[in-house]
Amino acid sequence: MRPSTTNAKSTITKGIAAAAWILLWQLCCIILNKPLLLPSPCQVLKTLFRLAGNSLFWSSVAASLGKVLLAFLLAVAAGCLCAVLAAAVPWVRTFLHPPVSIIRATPVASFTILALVWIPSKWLPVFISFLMVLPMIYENVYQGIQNTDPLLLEMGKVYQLSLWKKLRFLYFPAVLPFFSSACVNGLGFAWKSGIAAEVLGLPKLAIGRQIHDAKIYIEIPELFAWTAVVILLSMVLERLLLTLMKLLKRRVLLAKEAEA
Amino acid sequence: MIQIDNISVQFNDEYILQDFSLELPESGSVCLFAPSGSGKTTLLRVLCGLTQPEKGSVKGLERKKTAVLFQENRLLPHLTALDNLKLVLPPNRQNSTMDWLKKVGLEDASQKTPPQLSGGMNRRLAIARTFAYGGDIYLLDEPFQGLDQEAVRQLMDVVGQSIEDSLLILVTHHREEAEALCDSIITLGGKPMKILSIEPIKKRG
Repeated sequence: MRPSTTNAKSTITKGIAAAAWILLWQLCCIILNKPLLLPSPCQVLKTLFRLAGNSLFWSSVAASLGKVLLAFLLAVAAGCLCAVLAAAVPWVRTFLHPPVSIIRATPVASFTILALVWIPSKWLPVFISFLMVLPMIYENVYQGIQNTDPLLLEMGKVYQLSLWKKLRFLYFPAVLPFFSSACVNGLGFAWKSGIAAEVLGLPKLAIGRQIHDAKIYIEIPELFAWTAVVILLSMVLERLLLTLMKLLKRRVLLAKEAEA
Repeated sequence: MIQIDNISVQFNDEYILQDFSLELPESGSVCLFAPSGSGKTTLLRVLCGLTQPEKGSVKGLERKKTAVLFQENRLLPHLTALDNLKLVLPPNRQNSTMDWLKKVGLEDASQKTPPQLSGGMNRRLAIARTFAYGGDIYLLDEPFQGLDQEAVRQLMDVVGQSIEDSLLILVTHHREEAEALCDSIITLGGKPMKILSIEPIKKRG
């Protein structure tokens, strides 16, 4: 079977599954008949369209999106740098072990409340998302570096490959699968932790602020609509990132570059 | 003269080489002939700088370019045959890559990657890479393993024509390969490895 046919089939199957869940949601709404507690999918969609007509909606989306992306990019850069240093100098790995373990084990809420004391609420989501994504990128890139074929590294040494060629042709292909999966998981995590930080920190313009306000004023359809926005944005960003990773993989592994 | 002077190398508390000494010429061809597992590869690793002896020294290798053919092919699986050669060459020598593929009979496989080639073709590619890279010293570790007789004959010609004024150190346990390519055979054996005999080869014809 051709890959395009398989992909189309998989998309259709996923679409049917999603439709089945929406139908189940609708059924629950009919049975419960309490729109204040559980709004119907149509009601949520209507609320979403209503919100989208307001400039506050787009400002909040842009502000949250910008902060999450900024945090994610900073975490990717810092995580890669730490991983390279840890792979090159063993004591860096030992030195980084305690903070990385603490960050991984501490709940997002604890960090957010602690950070609120020192950081303005505007920058809190950036800090929290950065902190949550950094260990994921660091650990995965480090594992990728460790996973580089030692026989190929010896070949590179004997044939005196330049540092650039070693990075490009020996390390990058080994690290890329680890980096790629860390980025996809990390972006999802950046969203979740960033929005959670916004809900607790309440910056002026933010999706998390809107979710918080919807909860305070018991605007359950709005709460659902804003949550749907987060899910949609997360899915779109994940798709974009996967496409970017595919392009990067093709570029990194492109044979013709060997002469560079 | 390359002088290996009283070197010792151990792995897992076992000496592979202990106070091992050997003199090698600047050019010509020498075969290290020994059974598998005796430590020939370790000796080659010392010569190409991948293993540092814990004791002793190797003199005469300074400023010498060494080309190594490992027992494993060590090709990059995502690069084509042509690009595997280009990888080890500076930009001004990359025009010669197709010639090297022709010499080893891989001209039709230049755009294929190692996983798309047979085991024998990958070995040919690894040999082509070694000689395309060139060097003052060639270290070949079991170069013709996994190749059929016809291919071995063809590749021995390529090796013979390519070494010129360099030094070829061939590791094999096939005596006919040693006799066809080398000026002398150094038979090694024992644990730790020792020189058992050094025997010149009389070239036929």
